[in-house]
Amino acid sequence: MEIRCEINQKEYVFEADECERVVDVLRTLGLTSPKKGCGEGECGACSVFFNSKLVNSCLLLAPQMQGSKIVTLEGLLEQTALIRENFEECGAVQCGFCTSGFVMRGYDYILQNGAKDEESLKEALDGNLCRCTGYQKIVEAILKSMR
Amino acid sequence: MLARYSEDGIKIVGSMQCPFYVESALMHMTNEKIEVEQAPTGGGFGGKEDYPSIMAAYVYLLSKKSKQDVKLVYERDEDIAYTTKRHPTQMEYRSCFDDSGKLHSLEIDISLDGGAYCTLTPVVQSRSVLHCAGFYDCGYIKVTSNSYATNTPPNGAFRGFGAPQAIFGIERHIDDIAKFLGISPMDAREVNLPTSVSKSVTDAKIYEHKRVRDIFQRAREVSRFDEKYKSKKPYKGVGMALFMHGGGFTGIGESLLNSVVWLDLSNDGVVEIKTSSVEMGQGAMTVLPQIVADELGIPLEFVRYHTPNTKKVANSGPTVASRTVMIVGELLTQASQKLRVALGEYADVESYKQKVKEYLNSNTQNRFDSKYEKPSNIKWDEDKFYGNGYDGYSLGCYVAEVEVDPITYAVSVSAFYAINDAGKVINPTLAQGQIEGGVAQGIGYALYENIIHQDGKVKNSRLSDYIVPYASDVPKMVVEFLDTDAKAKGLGELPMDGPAPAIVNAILNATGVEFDAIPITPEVLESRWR
Ligand code: FES
Ligand code: FES
Repeated sequence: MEIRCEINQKEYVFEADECERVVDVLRTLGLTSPKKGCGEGECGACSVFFNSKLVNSCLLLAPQMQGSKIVTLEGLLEQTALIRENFEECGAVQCGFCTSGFVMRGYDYILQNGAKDEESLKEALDGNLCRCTGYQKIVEAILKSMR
Repeated sequence: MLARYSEDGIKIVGSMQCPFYVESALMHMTNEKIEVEQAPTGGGFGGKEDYPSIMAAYVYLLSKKSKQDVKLVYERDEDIAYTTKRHPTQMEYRSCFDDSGKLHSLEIDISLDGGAYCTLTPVVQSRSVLHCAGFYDCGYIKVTSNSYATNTPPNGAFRGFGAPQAIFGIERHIDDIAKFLGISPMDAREVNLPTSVSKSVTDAKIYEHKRVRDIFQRAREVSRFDEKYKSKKPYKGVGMALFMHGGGFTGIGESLLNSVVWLDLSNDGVVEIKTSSVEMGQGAMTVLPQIVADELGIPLEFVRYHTPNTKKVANSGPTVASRTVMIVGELLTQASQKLRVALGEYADVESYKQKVKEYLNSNTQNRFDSKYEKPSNIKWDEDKFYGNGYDGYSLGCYVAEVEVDPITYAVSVSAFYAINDAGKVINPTLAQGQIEGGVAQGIGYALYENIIHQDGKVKNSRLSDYIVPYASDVPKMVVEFLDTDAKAKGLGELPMDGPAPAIVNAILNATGVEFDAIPITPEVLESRWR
């Protein structure tokens, strides 16, 4: 089917299969910051803003994109510059597979004025999985970006 | 995994830990040498040690037949269902000890579930045997071990490679001895610390005896174990694990690998590292250049790391067994020394660049290499399985504090102390990250992660039913490194060994129940503690 939507403030028109997941559609369009870590809403690696809400793009199907506004990390490079820099500095990136998801989550947490204590942040991060870092340095990097 | 087709040959590009393993696997199907290149790999943790060879074979054959590029991507559930897992292991410990807890004899039996094919099982088994008595002083140790073929997908490498299972066995056993005698687990460990005359399970001197004592003392102090153990609160517990991890391949393994590294020097003074050690999040791409830059005394931007590609780099062996810094890093140090000698003295970057130009003007050889040689003090008899199994050992002493919930039966780890001795720390941030990540995986190993087979197939092949730790499951940790003036040793696998026994020992302290299997899910806790 033909889909028209706005991605990272650009108009897109493309063909997609009705059963295709949004994460796959985005990746085929060359937007590879969303990663498919689990494909079933457990890991958050595929996080994108969908009509201003942070969602797991593996749980949406292509037809839902019709007329929507989607923002991926590629469209937020400026806004997330500080967070990304802190991720690098704190050592919050190991293999990097989870990183774009955590940067998006951290950015959203800061946007929502999340509390500045570790407990609350960790709870907010519980939709994102990281197999490598043990989360400590990710938490550190996001808290640092809030200061 | 991707096969790129061209008339002149097929090139394999993919997520892998060991490009030369893939090359050699493909040589069973064709006489030509296939070019194999590592792509950004994501995490590895052993799961990408031997399995990528199978995927490469699939895409190679399809590409050859179809004369096209072929790409194979596993969805997560396929990945979990087919790729290799840690060997399920059953151990039995029997010991004789006196009233102080001093061990006089240990009899240990280890059985490994290899799955349907042999694959890496014999080497995993060797590592289990070599770690099964820890570094404790014990006059008589007898170990028997068997591996069994079963009807599940083959088990293989996963961070620690047989050691975490064995360390779980011995460290739980020590706490059981303490409980039997009514003494503190600290005292039960202290009386068994090794001395200069203690021998390991394979009758080698425990050269590390002093370091073992140091790390034990330090962990005891930092965690304030004794105080917490004495003033135990309801539903809370504290537990310890003291352990070692052999770095590099077991026994004659490193000699068989015969690793080589190359450093290529170019006119502008840039040195390129050509090894097969892959980046998979552990930091090879960062620390190997650091090692070379340090040794040469030049800024880091003069050192480049070449993506592992079997046609372009030296075979420095697989990226496994915590061997990258310890073995490959050491070879790079030696190659850098050769380069330094060839260039002669230089005082700063300018004179370095000058020396490089002069050298390359009068020499055609711009490649500096180094080849592995077994340290002369390390003796191993493969037939008798006697001697020193590893070129060097890292040590750990970890303390976990847990809380058990009397209503939900959930266990949470409330504090964690990880004291490590892996020699020189090349990059403190990355090293700390390795420990934190390993401890998190260890928490998963102890409390959540459980592969269930039904009719030989993995039943829970999704992240919604194979549960790994989330951020709130992992406490803030205290991480320390001791003995950092010594040579660098293995680090990547070390933190996988300690958490499970430390946590289960803490659960014993909290509940009075000795659990002898993991994971301790709420169902398991509920079944024995009410
Ligand atoms: S891929 Fe979407 S949550 Fe994991
Ligand atoms: S850095 Fe590898 S999964 Fe997070």
